[in-house]
Amino acid sequence: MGSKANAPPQIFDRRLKQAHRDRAAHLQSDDDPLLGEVTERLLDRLEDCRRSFPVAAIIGGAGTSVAARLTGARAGVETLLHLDDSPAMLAHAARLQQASQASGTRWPQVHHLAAEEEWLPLREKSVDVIISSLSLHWVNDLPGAMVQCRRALKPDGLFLSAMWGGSTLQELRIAHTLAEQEVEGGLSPRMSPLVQVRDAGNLLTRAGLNIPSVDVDELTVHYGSPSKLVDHLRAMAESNAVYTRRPTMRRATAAAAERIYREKFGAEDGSVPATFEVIYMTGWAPAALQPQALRRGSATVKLEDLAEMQRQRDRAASGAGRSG
Amino acid sequence: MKLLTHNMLACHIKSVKNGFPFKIEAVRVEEIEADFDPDFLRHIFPRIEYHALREAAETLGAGGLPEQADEASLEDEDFLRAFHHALLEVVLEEGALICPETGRRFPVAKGIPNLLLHEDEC
Repeated sequence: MGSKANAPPQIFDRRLKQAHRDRAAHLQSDDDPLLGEVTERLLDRLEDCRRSFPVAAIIGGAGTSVAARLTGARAGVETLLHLDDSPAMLAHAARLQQASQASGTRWPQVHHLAAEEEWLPLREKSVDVIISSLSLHWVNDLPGAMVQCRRALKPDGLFLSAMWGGSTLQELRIAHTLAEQEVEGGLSPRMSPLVQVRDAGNLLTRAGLNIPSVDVDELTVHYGSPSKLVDHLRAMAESNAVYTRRPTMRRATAAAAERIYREKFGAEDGSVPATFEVIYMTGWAPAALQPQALRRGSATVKLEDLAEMQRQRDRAASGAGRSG
Repeated sequence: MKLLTHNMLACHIKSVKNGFPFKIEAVRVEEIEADFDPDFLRHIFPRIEYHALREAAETLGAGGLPEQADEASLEDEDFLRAFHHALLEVVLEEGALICPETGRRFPVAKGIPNLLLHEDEC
């Protein structure tokens, strides 16, 4: 029995993905609106925490968007380890940082490292928060990567991630499927398998992260044409990297896919919509004094009484004359 | 690479049990002045493995850190200055990080450590 027998399946070609990221570093706008929006919604969760995160680690994906949004001591971040497997992407991040600092924005101590999310070179219990914005959907061993994140977190550290979910690019998927059947009479993997919402909670629990929470967002982006969408995917380093992919697409198939996309999904103004589903996952590294969910049925107060208690408290607070 | 970064890293090759701390092979070390911020130093201190920092600093020729330090040491201005210098101002520009268990060498170029593994190491 070799060690490879237990190895997780290799679905994605990581070397190709690294090349995609190198290329994207030159194609990407300084603040991609889609990556920025998803990242902002992800980081919004930091504001819900009544604590600070002095040491943060960013892994891959839209890391430059994350770094640019952790300035000005947001969430108390003072040290930022930025990991990416693409040297070009790190150089891109460093350039943006310099420009931003030159215009007076205060940045934390940023440290760039060439590393992969699947092989995290972080010491155990070293960081307060790990943020992965749109990177984990390219990882072959997702449970393994999340276990490594949990190990690198200090007790009560936060794992914060966003990744594309199952209905992402459903229009493109359908258009490709129909076009390949029509032109070539068969199918090939043009798109990644993606995580479904129902699996996300299990992933967090399996990684040993406490107080798991999962929620989903759906964004629709309108493009001038299907090929504009494909250009944008390339600039986001989201091109196909499935091992079993076919390296090229026949011109006739591509033309058919474009036609079908417009026919089935096109808007009246000629634009085409694309769906992006985002799965947000948060979980906390176990710690001794962490709040735990209580046993079911152990409540002593009815939920409907809570509202009344809150009203009474508000009245008492305003009666105390804090405004005076 | 600053020694703050070095202190957060451990070798991630699967078979390695104790990959911390990396040994440092220095080719070019620079001293780059950084803003002295006592609050930052107080926050980061409990997150640092002190002995690994002290050893790394000595490897790079930055002495001055006492053998032992604890939270009380943070009241001492001289200690804070030495801690600040070791953590943020001594920068390994060219060299390598060596896994303490396997001896695997990870290059550091232009200040950035390359910790990517080859496929046969995964």
